[in-house]
Amino acid sequence: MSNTQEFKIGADLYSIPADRFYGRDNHMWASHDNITGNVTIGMDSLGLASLGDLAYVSLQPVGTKVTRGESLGTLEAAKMTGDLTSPISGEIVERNDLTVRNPALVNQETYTNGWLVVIKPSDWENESAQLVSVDELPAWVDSELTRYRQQGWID
Amino acid sequence: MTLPLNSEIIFHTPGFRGYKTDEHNNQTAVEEFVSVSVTGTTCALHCEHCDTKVLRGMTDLRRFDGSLYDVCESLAENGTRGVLISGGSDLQGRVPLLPHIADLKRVRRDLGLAVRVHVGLPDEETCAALGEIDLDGAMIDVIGHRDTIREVYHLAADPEDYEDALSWLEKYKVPMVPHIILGLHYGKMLGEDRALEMILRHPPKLLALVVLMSISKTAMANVTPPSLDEIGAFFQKARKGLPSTPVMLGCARPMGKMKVEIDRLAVDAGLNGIAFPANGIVEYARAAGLRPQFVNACCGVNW
Repeated sequence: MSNTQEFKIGADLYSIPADRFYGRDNHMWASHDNITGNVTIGMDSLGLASLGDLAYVSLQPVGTKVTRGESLGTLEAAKMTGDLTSPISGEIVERNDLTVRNPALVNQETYTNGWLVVIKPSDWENESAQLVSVDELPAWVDSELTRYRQQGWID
Repeated sequence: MTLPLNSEIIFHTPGFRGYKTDEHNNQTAVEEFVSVSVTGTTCALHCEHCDTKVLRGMTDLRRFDGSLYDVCESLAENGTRGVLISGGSDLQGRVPLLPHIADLKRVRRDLGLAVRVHVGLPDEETCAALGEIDLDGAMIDVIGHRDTIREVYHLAADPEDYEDALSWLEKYKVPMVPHIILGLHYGKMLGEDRALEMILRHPPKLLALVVLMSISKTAMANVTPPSLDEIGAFFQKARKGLPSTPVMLGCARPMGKMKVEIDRLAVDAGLNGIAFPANGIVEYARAAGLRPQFVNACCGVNW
């Protein structure tokens, strides 16, 4: 298994690293730190490709309790204005104000400096099992690419 | 502050873009207003500001196994109430609607959907055919300077050609929904005044004003839009020029903080509606004494 799943949209090459988990529908990535137990959250490149450039990001404050599937912030992008939904439940223990000040960072450094929040999970063991993991990644990326193309969200 | 005609302001949120703020959510179970591209993401012009990017996100007729009528029938069965028929342009700037006229007549007559069309720069034959459909409106981007038409649209046409198109639409009694893109000439105001003058000579159903929105991976990705002063002044001029015709702030404009300022200028100028308002604008309008209404469809569509 390669450590990155790559795909093309038009002439552009995108990647989805295999070292983390992904929300099946909301295209949020979740990277678990085995030492602290905390989980860093961001958006994946396929979700971003369908949204276009991010122009505005707001994030809930540190200390906020979030529930899986509910809002951890909001975004405004070329193709959507709406919620950033959390892939897991827990408490926000850190947020990336750099992305609030410069939302383009999420597009430009998606899997590194473009992270959004760090969550102290309340039920990682069970909730991570519902996320897309490394074994499922190729099939999930293929099916999502098909779905996005059928919807006309990407080329 | 100028209050609009009846102290009501309409916020439009057509379904081609997900929209959820503290003040409104268009993500209902039913997608009420759907845009369909008859050319998919293909366009012969590759305009500097768009380069086909705006076509993405529309339902692609070419990927559907059936006619335009079949697509619309399928949408109607799922609760859709109106459609925007759009597409890329041919080398003459026309959205190729003529092959779909018979379907569109049936969509209107048999399905009862509200039908809007993007026409590009239509010829007389297309305008005449559109006059037979009972359209809700034909949307046309009116460009008032030759350099913009040539350099941005890559189109061998002149402002007079746009005036001809407006004349034909008027002649065939097609409800016109002209758009003026402020700053279309690489962020500079150039032909906007002339575009407005042309529109005033051919009374529209409504006028939609939009502001150049820089789109990544286009030639205008890093273009600076017109200043807020220029935008606000043009809003006032359009309002004054069309005192009894709805003037709306349409879908496209810079996002983020500038969007908030533009939307406030629209409210202050007494425009009648705003598409996809910035968060907080509904309350801003209410504080100005306006009664907000919401319609999940293009500007001016009323069910």
